[in-house]
Amino acid sequence: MANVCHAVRLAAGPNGPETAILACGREGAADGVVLLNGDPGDLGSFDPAALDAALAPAAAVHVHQCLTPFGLFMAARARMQGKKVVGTDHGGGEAASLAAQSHLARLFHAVMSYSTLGKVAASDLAVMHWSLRGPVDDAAFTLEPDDRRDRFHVVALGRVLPHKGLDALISAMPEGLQLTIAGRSYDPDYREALNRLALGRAVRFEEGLDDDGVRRLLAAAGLCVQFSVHRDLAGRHITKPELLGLAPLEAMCTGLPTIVSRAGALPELGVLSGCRVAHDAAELSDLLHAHAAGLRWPGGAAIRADAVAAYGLAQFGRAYLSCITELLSCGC
Amino acid sequence: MRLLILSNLFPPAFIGGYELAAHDVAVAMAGRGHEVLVLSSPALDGQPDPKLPFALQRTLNCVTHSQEPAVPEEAWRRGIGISVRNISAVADALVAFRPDAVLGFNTAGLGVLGLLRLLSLAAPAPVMFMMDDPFAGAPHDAAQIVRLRRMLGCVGGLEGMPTIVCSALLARELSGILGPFSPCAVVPAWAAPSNAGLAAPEPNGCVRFVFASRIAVHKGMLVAVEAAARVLATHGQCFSVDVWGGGAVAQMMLAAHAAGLGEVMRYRGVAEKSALQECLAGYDALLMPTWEREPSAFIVSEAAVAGCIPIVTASIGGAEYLLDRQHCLKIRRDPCDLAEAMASLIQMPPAARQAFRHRAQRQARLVFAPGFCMDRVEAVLRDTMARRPAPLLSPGEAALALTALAHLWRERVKGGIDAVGRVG
Repeated sequence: MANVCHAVRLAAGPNGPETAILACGREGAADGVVLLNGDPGDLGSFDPAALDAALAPAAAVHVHQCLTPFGLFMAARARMQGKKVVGTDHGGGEAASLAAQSHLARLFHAVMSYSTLGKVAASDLAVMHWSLRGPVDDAAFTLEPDDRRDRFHVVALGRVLPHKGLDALISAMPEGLQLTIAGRSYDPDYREALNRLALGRAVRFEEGLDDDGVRRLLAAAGLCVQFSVHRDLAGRHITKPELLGLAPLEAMCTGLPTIVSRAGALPELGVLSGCRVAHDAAELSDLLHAHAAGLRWPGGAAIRADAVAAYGLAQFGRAYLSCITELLSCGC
Repeated sequence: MRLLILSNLFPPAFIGGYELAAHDVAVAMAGRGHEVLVLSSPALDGQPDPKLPFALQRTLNCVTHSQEPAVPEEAWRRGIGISVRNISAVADALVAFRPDAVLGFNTAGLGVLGLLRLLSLAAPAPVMFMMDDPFAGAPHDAAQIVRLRRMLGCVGGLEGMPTIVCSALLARELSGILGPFSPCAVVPAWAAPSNAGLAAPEPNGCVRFVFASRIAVHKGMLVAVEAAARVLATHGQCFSVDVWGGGAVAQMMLAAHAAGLGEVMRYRGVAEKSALQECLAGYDALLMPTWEREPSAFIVSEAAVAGCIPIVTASIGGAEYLLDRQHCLKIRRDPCDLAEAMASLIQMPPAARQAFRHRAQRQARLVFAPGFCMDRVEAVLRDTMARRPAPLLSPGEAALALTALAHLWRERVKGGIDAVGRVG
């Protein structure tokens, strides 16, 4: 099996520089992670020999956040080594160069998206397109017993940012339900606005939960809500607020029912038995009231089975390997 | 072989010897039966090209050369860094012409780093013929060069490409800028002997000096003027200095006039290379107090081949092939030392001076023989063709990747240049 090398750009911490990680996996051996020192914001900061050496064993390179300057840079360097290059957009911005020179997308032999929205967003890139679902890590997020859940405990997971629609969620919360917002805040003004909205309501914020803490939270909750928006509290328009909806998928893997908005790729999750789509804030409020009043959801096992079948690791892995194999054998 | 030659400028109009060298090699290789295509930029004088024994396409864009006034930062980025237009033009030529080998001459002004990388990735048997530092004389920020090289994945030296240099001096200078590399051959600036024999000494004992070069400060024009003034003061009007070439002529001749050299130093104009070669035999010595980093200087070879004793700055590349006081006189680059060297020839008995000229000529005709030099160039090309593996990428693939990196670099550099202001 040829080596597939990933180039991933980590999200920056509030103070420290970002770091690029190249992950090379070999069949039959433990995954190796090669850490290249450098700042993805400064493309000249990477040692060229180290980068070439890290890419050398791979037959194909999968570049994440592929439309960013870092993504284009990695794609170009991989192409210069004669590699097949696949790109996936996870957001994080787009290089100005790509907008002006769309033919640069040909750096990628293929672009992979994980939702219909992602496919639409990449429709102007004149390269081969793979549309896969997921993946969600159903091995890390396992089924939790229904009888340990507190129906009246609602959770919202993810970064606390204006396009996550947390303000609308807080406003829609009925009496009798308590809300935990778990995630790091990156916008002090927005957080302050949420604090004000939360006054007098059963809302608490959890920052700094580790993976185990998140799993415990999901295990105890009775409902997960992801109400991202295209227009945030300040009136700003966000084109791609959610390219997948990983948080509600992780929740459903534990058997937790979810409510999502119709922003981004979220409504695509509405086909899953454990997911309902609220088309606006009023409908969100109605659904929350209905939940508090005893709305019946499928059992946790069914919720999980549905989510795993559609978005889980195994189905993604089979499809992904099939695409990579085809790519490596084609003469493109 | 099918040979693609790249040169930022190409005769008939020219600025210096580098583009003349490209022309000579093209003619020589075509004469040896090879199919040659030269890629260069539009003619400096805008005149149509004469009939040539090889194909010439002026599809490249040269944004910086010494006749240009101060260039803006954007021209520097394209001249030294990377030019998308020229990347595309060279890639197209690689596809259309399908060369067996590529010989790169002066790439200054063409986007040096980008072209070097393109050739290393996608050209069959690429060889660089370096006769100057492509970054010399242009405003640049060394840190930006380093940064772009890292972005392009440059491996050091000249990207592992076989390189011919004209002197050990230039090899050291390039190593300091581009990283260490070992040239595969050292080929000096060549010169064909003319039909003119050595002129006999002047009956009145007047020693004939010549200053034949681009007329510029860095070529030592003012050093020559001051040295001549010193000699005039100490030895009287027993010598002459003829000046040939284009450039800052008025500045030099006004300086000569102010120094009282009106009867001694005379401007002769700009001559065709072959015509000048004929004239050189009529002079006893060449004054060449050029800057210490001069990589080669064809005029030194041409003078020596004509039996005109070169008086040269000791450190220059052209002096590496000549022994001091046997084939030339090597000086510090200052008027005192030059004046002393001139005086030594003036005081030398005519017979001894003629013998000196003959020694210089014999040595020069051995080491600067064009046939010998072209043999070496051809040998490097053939050896590279035999040893070099097939290119990793197609020209189109390489051009695509380099184009993307060019755009990404410019996005960042624009902000950096704005922050640091004009560089130089």
